[in-house]
Order: sequence, then C-alpha cells, then structure tokens
Amino acid sequence: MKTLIMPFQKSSRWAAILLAAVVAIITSAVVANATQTITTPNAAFFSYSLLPGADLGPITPASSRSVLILGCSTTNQAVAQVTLQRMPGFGLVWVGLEQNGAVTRGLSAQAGTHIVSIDSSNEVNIVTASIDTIIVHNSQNRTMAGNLTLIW
Amino acid sequence: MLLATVVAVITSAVVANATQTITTPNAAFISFNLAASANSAVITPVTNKSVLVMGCGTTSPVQAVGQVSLLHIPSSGIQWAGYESFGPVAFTGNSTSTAGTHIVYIDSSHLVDIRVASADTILIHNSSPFVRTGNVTLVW
Repeated sequence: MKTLIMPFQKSSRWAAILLAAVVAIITSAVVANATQTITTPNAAFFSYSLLPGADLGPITPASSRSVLILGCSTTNQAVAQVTLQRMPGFGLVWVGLEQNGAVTRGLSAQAGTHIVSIDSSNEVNIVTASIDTIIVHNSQNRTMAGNLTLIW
Repeated sequence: MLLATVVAVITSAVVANATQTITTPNAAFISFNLAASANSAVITPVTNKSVLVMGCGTTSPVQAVGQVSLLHIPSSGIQWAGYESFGPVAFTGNSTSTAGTHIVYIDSSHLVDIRVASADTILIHNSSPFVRTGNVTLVW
C-alpha cells in the first residue's frame, strides 16, 4: 500500500529538521568555548627508598593539562607540592611551594633543573630528567624514603 | 560492663567533633578555546567544600599553570587562596561576590585568568588579542 504524504506533512517535517539543525548549531556555538566533563580524577602513587645518589623514575606526567604533584619524605619528614604542565616537545612548566614554604617556579626543557625539595634538609628533590620527564633524586649521604602522588 | 560504657562515652566525646568519611574524589575537566576578550561558560563549583582549581594555558609560547584552593559559599561569594602562574609568580587570595574579580592567572603572559562571574560562579577570561586554549581541572 502506498503511503501518501500530504504537502503540509512534508513541509512540517522539513520545518522540524530545520529547527533541530538550528538548535544544534546554536548549542554548539554556546558550548564550543568551554567543554566540561565530570570524571573521577586520576592519581599515580610512587613510594621510594633511595640509596645515596640514587634516582626514582623517570616519571612522565600527563601532557597538556595541570598535574598536581605532592611529595613527601618520611625520613627527613617534610612535604611540598607543585602544579606542573608537561608541554610535549616544549618542556615542563611549574609553580608551587617548597617544603620550607618558599615559592618554586620554572620552565625547563633540559635535564637537571630543580623543581621542588621534598625533605627538610633540601637533599631529596624532584628535578627534570628530560624535556618530558621528572625524577626524584636523593643527594643525601644516606638512604631516604618517602612517596610521591600525582593527581590530574 | 561499666568500663566498656565509660570507654564508649569517652570515645564518642573524642570523635564527635570530627567525622571522617573516605570517598572517591570528583573532578571536573573543562577545556577552553577562547577568542580575544572572550569568556568561557560559567562554572559552578561545589558548595561548602574545598575545591582544588588547577588551570593551564596550552597556547605556545605562553604555556603555564596556576592553582587555588577555592570555597564556594552559597549565595554569599567565592573565597580562595593559591598562587599565580609562572612569571612573575605571586600569591593570590580573596573573598568576594563581585563579578569580574581576578582569581588566578593560568598563562605566562598573565592575560588568561579565572575570574568571579557571580556570587556562585566562576569563568575563564581571555584578555589577550589572540585566541587562547587550555583547560581547568576542579578536584573535590
């Protein structure tokens, strides 16, 4: 059986499609400049027990977003934190607080740049390891333990 | 029995002023791509809780990060403490309901910032004459 479509029904359908398209375009235009997603945050936990002169890592933080790094020493007890962005092919940029409350900030694309000290003697440090990675380095003359948490 | 009762009463007295609940934290991830002088959509942080707000600009060569801990006091205002993005770095803190108040810079040229949008909301503003991209993460 052939279905007959009246001219009015046809134009009504086209009007509905047109309206839907307009709504979609307006919605896109409104939300295009800020997209929000609710998620469970990610965390990476590293515990360390480092001999004198030893390193933990390298660790590669998530790229092109803010990563909170909390570090502590359980030997020479202290805590410190920085917020860091890894910029692929460009380096690492950060701002935060040393274990003694001083501000630490930097932008580096090379290995060996100090980021933050996480023990009370300033001998256990998070430092850049490359353009994309960080390490925890123990400059103390004894074994130092603690842990590192990255949240993003 | 009496001893057990005494212990229970003392324990209750000690813990009554601080109740701990272990939960999985929440995060809101907001990416932005803002034309010159544009604002993002408004963001409403959760109320009466500490919210970590981390933002970064990803447009080269002015990439940076900044962060604040923020408290949304319903219908009353936004309060925060934290530090501005790289170069020059400074502490930032205030409590206000006034729209347009600067909260924290998240690019190294200090032209992209998170601002108060109302007593209950914040937004991202691009003051530069160029398109700026990046993202903001709220954790609570």
